[in-house]
Amino acid sequence: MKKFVTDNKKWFVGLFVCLLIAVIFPQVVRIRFVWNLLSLILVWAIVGMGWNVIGGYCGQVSNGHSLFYGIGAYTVAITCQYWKLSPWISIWIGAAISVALAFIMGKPLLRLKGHVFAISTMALAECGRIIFVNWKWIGGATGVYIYTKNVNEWLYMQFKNPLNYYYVFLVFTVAILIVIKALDKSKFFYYLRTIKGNEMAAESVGINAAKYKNRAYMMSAAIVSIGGSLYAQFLLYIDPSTLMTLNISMMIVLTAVMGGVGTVEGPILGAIVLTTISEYTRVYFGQYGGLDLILYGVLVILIVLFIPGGILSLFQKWNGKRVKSGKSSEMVGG
Amino acid sequence: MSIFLQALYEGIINGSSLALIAMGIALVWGVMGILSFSQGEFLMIAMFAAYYLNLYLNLDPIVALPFCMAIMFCIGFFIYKLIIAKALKGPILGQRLITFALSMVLINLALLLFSGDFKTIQKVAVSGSIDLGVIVVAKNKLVPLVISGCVAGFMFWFLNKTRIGKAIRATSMNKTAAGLVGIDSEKAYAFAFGLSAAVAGAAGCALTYYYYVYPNVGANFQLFGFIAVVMGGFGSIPGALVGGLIMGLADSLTGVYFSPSFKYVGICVAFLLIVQFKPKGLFGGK
Amino acid sequence: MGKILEIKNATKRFGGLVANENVTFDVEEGEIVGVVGPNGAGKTTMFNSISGAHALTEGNIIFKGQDITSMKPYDICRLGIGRTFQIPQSLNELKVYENVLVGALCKRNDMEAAMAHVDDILQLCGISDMKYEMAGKLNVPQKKRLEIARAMATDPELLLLDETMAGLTATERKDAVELIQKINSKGVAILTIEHNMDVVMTVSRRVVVLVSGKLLTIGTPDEVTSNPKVISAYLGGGTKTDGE
Repeated sequence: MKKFVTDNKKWFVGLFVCLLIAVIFPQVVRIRFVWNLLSLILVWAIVGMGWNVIGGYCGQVSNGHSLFYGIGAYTVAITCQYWKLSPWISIWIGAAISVALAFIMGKPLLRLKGHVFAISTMALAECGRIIFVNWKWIGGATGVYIYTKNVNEWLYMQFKNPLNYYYVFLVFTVAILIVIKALDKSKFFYYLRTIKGNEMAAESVGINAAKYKNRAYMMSAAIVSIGGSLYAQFLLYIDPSTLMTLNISMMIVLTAVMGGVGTVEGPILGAIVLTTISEYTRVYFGQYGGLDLILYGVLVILIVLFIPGGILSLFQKWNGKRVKSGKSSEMVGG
Repeated sequence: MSIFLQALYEGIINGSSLALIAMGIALVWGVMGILSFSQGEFLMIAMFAAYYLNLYLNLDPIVALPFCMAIMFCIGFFIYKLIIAKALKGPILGQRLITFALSMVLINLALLLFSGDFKTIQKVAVSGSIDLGVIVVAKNKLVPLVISGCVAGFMFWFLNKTRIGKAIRATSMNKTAAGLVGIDSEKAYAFAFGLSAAVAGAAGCALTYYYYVYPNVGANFQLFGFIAVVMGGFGSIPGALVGGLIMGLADSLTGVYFSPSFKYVGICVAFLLIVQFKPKGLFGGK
Repeated sequence: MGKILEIKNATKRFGGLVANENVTFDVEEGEIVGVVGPNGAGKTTMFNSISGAHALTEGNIIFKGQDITSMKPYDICRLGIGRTFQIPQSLNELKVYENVLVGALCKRNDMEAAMAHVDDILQLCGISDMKYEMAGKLNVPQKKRLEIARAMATDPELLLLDETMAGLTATERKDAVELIQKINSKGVAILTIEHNMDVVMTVSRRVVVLVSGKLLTIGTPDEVTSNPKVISAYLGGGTKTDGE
């Protein structure tokens, strides 16, 4: 651990600075809309980072991660409604259920490749959505309220002040970010990159591709599930049509792709840009039925067309021009 | 027995529209390797076109069909030149996301222009029904079936007999080799994309005979279209045709004999099982 | 010397096509064995069977006394067989050192130790100066070296080389021969497929001749080249000596 920090001194200094800004910014800009926006950005950053593990690092492009998002959200909602369980515990139950499902479904799904894998994950997520819509015990199509009266705000993560959500989410985001950074130069992630690059070559150097793909899928499911749980706490009301649609799955992918596929910080940048665009277009153009999503879609097309490597690649290009050869940043951390 | 036959009939009707969508998806997949999420929206645009042609010019969808196909071909061709041609130079994932964003734009454009109301064409040329004793054949549903058959036939003819059709097929087999023998692959791609939109347009136009028109209508066909393409052996156009028919049948039969609310689960599970044992689709060989 | 690899009555069919039929030979510890034969003789199929890319239809493959016939490629690699591919399968989006690193991680969990090993291997294969290049930017001869480096990083006791010389110029070939001998001098046994007869005859202690999937003969380069069967079946069918 200590070595990890000393090897990545620059990165941690950068993180510290960003964190400082992230903490102070909402204290300066005291607008409720901005506070909500910031919380949403963090939720998308988390799910983006989660998808990135299987889709970005491992190259298995899932188009059905809304399933795990939904599972995370429903687990906290249902356990709270029926057993008054604190989300601080049920978040982990949700993640465990997602991991178990990813483990079981990963085996058959991950044998498939390319578009077929993508379509299969879509089909799986669709199954999940229909089951949730028709499952009376968990509220069916009407959904579930999480909001409970007269409970401890912090114990039940139900805050009146939206800023509290933001700070809680920030802790989760930073924790996940550091885990991913630590894994970035690890054997596990190098194996994932190798599988993404060439599965045959990977097996020829002793990598059990199926096993590592499944591990990546499970890790990815867990993180996305945590994101879903937090989102549910933020909304305090959930239903299948806001959580488990193809649109959500695709936006999870978009977040990672827009920031930079297979990079540590990419999904966070993607979340900042995408969520800001989507929230502001919604506020300014939402009343003209659909205009906001037209603008959103057009901007997405433009960004994906003209920055195919993601927003992070712009920084890297700029950085590359400054530091002609990137040798200093290539040291491997343990 | 009569329930079964009725379900079979409805299944083939639905399947014929799905087959056209699937053929369009298969064409784009096979030729340029893109999983196109905007195919359902091409169908939707054509449905609106048919609806408004009927409303203002009193054109029956059967008469409007060639216009719809021409409009959709032009839209597809234009979208290819404007967006897809550039997207093809980027990563595969980006291409998929662009077609997804495009579908979002098209749906909401329709919402903005035509509102989200459900619309139906009030008077169509062919209506009424024939009671065959065992089943009741709604005549207006026969129209999409016949049209789908004709359009599928047209597509096979186009791809196999015309110069540009052959160029499209050659490009889909090997882009470099096609380029070496002097085929303009850019043109072949643009035509293929236009054609896929036109085929979806034909399906949409025919569907207005008995289906509601609304901005999100394409979504109902999108996932099933994908599944049909995979089942038929991806990229294979005859395979997609058969895959679409199977999906239509599965849809109506599971609806009758299983549970209407869980029927899509049944279909998705069946699909997941099939790709496990036949990863190259039902007709993709080993 | 003990036998490191034994191939016993190996037969591989793809549907009706017989790619290898009843092939039997062995490789001794520390030995270089060349595999020659005209196109379609089943050389690469043989390699794929040994490395586990596909299973044999009949017969057995024994590595260090252990039956590996139906093992998976990654397990076979872990046992100590490294391989290269006829068409280089480099990881183009990774840097050269990272390509080698994923091989080094096969038997190491510690990143520092793996990196130290990577440096050794890059040195051995003479590509240290390209350490930070993207693998995708390398030319074909460089990629072939990278393939060898990645396979060597897994610490194999037996290395399978699939046409590492094809498409190389005379000087590059000379370097490659040197590299093979250097690797062999570290005690690694090598089984190499080669079209170029000169190369095979200089590096190999013994040569296996495959024709239409069957083993024609096995022997020292001198024995093989003077064998009339070989001359008629293989060399007679169009000599491919120093053509490139």
